[in-house]
Amino acid sequence: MIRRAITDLVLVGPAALAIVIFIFLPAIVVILLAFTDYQFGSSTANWIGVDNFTSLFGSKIGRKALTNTLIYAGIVIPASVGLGLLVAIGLHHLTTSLPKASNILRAIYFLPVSATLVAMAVSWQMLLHPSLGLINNWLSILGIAPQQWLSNRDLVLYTLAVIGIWQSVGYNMVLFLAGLAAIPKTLYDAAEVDGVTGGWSRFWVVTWPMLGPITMFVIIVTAANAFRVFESVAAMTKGGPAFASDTIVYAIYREGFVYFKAGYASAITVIFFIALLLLTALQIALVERKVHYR
Amino acid sequence: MKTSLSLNNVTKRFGDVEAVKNISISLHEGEFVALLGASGCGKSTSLRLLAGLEKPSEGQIFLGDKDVTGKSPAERNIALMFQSYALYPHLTVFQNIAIPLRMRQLSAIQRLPGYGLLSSSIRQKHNEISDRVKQMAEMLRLSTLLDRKPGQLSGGQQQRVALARALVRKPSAFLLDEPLSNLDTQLRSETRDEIRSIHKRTNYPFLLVTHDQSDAFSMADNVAVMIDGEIAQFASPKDIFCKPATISVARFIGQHRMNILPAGAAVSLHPAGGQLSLGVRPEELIISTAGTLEATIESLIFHGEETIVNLVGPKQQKLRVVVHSSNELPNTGENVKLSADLNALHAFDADGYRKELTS
Amino acid sequence: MKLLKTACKLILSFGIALSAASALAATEIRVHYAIPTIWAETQEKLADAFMAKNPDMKIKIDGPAESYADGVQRLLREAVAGTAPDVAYVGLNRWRILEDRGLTKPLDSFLPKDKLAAGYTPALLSLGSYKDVQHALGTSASNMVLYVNPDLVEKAGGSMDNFPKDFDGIIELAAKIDALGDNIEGIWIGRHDWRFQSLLGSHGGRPLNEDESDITFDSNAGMTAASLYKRFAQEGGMSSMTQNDARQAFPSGTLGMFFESSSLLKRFEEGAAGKFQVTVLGTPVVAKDNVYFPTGGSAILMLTDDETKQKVAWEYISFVTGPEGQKIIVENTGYAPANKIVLDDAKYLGAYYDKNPNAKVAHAQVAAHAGPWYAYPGAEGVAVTDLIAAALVELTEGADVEKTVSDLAETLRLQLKMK
Repeated sequence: MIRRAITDLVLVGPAALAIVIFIFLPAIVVILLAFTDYQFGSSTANWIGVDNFTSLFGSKIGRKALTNTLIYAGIVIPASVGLGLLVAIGLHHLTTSLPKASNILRAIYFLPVSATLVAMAVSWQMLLHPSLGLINNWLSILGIAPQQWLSNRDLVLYTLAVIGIWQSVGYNMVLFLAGLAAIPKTLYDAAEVDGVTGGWSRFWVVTWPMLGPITMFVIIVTAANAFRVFESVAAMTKGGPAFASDTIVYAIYREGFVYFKAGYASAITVIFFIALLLLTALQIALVERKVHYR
Repeated sequence: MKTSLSLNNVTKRFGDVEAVKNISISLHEGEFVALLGASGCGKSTSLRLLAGLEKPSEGQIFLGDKDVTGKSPAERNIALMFQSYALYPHLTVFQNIAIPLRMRQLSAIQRLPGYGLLSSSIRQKHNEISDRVKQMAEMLRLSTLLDRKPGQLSGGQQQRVALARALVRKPSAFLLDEPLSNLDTQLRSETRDEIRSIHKRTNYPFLLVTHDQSDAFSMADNVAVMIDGEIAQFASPKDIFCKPATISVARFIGQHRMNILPAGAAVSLHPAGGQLSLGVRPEELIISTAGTLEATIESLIFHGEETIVNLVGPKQQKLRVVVHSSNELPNTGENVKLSADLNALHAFDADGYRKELTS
Repeated sequence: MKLLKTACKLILSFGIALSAASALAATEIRVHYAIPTIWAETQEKLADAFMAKNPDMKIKIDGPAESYADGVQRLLREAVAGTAPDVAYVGLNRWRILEDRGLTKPLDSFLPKDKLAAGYTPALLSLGSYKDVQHALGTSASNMVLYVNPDLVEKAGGSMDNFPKDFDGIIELAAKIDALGDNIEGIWIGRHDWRFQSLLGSHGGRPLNEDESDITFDSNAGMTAASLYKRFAQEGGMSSMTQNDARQAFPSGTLGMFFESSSLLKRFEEGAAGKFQVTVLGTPVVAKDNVYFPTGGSAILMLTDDETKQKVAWEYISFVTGPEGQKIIVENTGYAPANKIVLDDAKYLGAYYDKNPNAKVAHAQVAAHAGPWYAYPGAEGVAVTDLIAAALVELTEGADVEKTVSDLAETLRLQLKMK
């Protein structure tokens, strides 16, 4: 009996220890740091209570990062889920009529997902260059004034959102395609017999509800990625100009690793962690209740 | 009797494959027809053609005397119960049953939740639908399950929901695709009775598609035997069993595969066997000293109330006899003599068509 | 708090502790540097030349950091873990971060009595001193200069021989170049702390007072310097493109004038080769005296506590900041030297300047006006530079100069706890 217990401990021990050392311990350190004015590299820190949290919500820059992130997610989540679904439905129907074209288009849509965003950011910067970039050149052919895509404060967040959508549509499309393929054909037959005529009613009576679980999953994944937006900001705008494209995760990086304000960065991390935790809990509750149909 | 639904010389091709070859079949008011065939014989395609889920490559489909060849399933007002039941998993039992009515009687806007609050005539319609659904649920013993989702029901309950959904509107015909194949033996016979009684009560024309001959024989008034995309015989169950029209129907029907003695060898059973092939069901081939066909016993398989005896005839043809009593069984390797009643013999010409024997 | 720090240390050192137990050869020192794209070859050459001269000493170069910012991060991490290198090259505006945390070792006791004779002028020493303590020495220097595309100037009706000497003339010319076409820009300057400090220095202003207890860029000089941003945008047609955009646009020939660091000279000359002849001019000097230009580039500093290592470290530091090391750095990186001897004595760089007249212009400006790149003191020091940049963006978008600069100064005073 005791031997058995020892064996079990030996099996479980290392992994548990690793998790404690590499995940729980640092997480506790981060939570503790959030209540200090610790500077990265310095040898002392003072306990300052909730000051970091009040200055996050009280400062213009802190609030800007929060609202920017919400606007970004507010655009990217519905657009990339909606477009992903639309493209998936189109390609799903195309598989029967033009299988080759459908496969090629699938690969094209999936390309941005497999490319690393930091590398793609260089291409985007070239495309979006105000005087040399292709996009402004095309616009001027159409008679539209050139835009400062990445350096106009009113525009930069939306440019990043479009890039975010571009990057995630392919992934969502693949998930939706799998979901569409899993819908039993007989359900469509049944719907037809029951008098569900026309693509629109068929979508609402069969396709949409049957995609419920996958849609929920796609939304969770897209939301998690949208709220964590970082690479495109770091690679293309560094949060600028004038904090116009600052986001929460970029702010964590900026405060912690550029300004070396480890305490403050930890406070943002804690808030962000709690927010994501709540969101996930909410989504799980919704998923369990609404989409699994039992 | 009025013809209510018919296929006229219908052919259906998928690419180069002819799934249904020039078939004609009619379904009359109040009639219960079974379409019986092995899997892949084209019976499901025929059903889909009747329902309007497939369009024929050639031929016409009539509903009464109206040509509905190009019409959608909804326009034909045909009810169809699917083998997998095809219930909407996200809707409750009530909503599942109500769907065909809501789709027919309400427009897309009127189906929106809360719309009924705005117009009294719509509320009226909602109430009518609700009454009809409850009436169907009552009839199929579903009243206590109306708020459940299909995932929470047993197989038999799901099937009754599928029946209710099919019958809730008054269909021009009711097609059933292998309705019993997902049920256990006990439930099977109950459901047979249930379907029969629903047919009696509603008097809609019923078409049952099945691969199981006992389902077909026990429920249907007439059976169409389908082989390789063609209707080989369309007759009453009794006629199909007792007078199979072709050699392939004869082989297909019956619990045990019929013994067929080719022309020539068959002469030892009947003089006509010189020119015709003769078939005898294993149940009707008798081991007796007065027999005229000699055979050697190869093996005996004991099944309880019956024993299957495998034999080899004089020209090495395989023969099978089913013996119902267990007291006087011969031994393996023994040479025996076989005989059959004249009534038990089925004669077929060289093209495989039935010939009536005269004594 | 002590506990917290220990925990931190424990975690950070967990992975590195084993590998850090390096061989303690008495004469070997470890050197850290950043930006391998500029420095990799130069660092090898410096180490080789030093070891050839001092066979009993050994230089071990750490894998470089991608940028000065990354480099400082890494040094802080390594200091916490106890694995810091002995000597480090750090951005000239970043050594104060290390000084603030007590990591740098003062160099005063090592420096020779006659500093001037060794080529360390007071201006050059100012790059690495704080409160009269020498914490670092400059190894390479750069100033903000004006890059010009002569082709565009001529197309716009100007001439290089008669090039404007003041900002008014430059703005006028910028507007003319800007009018040449939709995708042609007249002038561009980064909305960035260092560029602003450069304009401020040109007007004789300072960002901070002597003992760094107050913000002083809301002076008259500061207002005039800041107003240039607004005028560049409104009168000169300066666009809001990003630093990277501008660095692509200039060598492509679509940007007429570009205030940028002299360290980019080599890159621009290579990029513009075959298209046009890049010309470098000094940043206009507005004030009569007190003019300085904040100097970018790198400094070298000592981190080791070990006395024998400190001796080797100083030998290395004095080599790379001396004329021989400086010659190697200038010739390989294009940076301006941080030692007077190498500038005065033609035997070191005479041939180089004959071949690179643009470099001579830039380096002469460094020699004449080098000054410290002010770092704002305290924990918020780096953070406020982004606030300055944000205010400059607002100016280019037409905000009121007086109000914006005063508000900015007030914000900084509060954030830096000067009030």
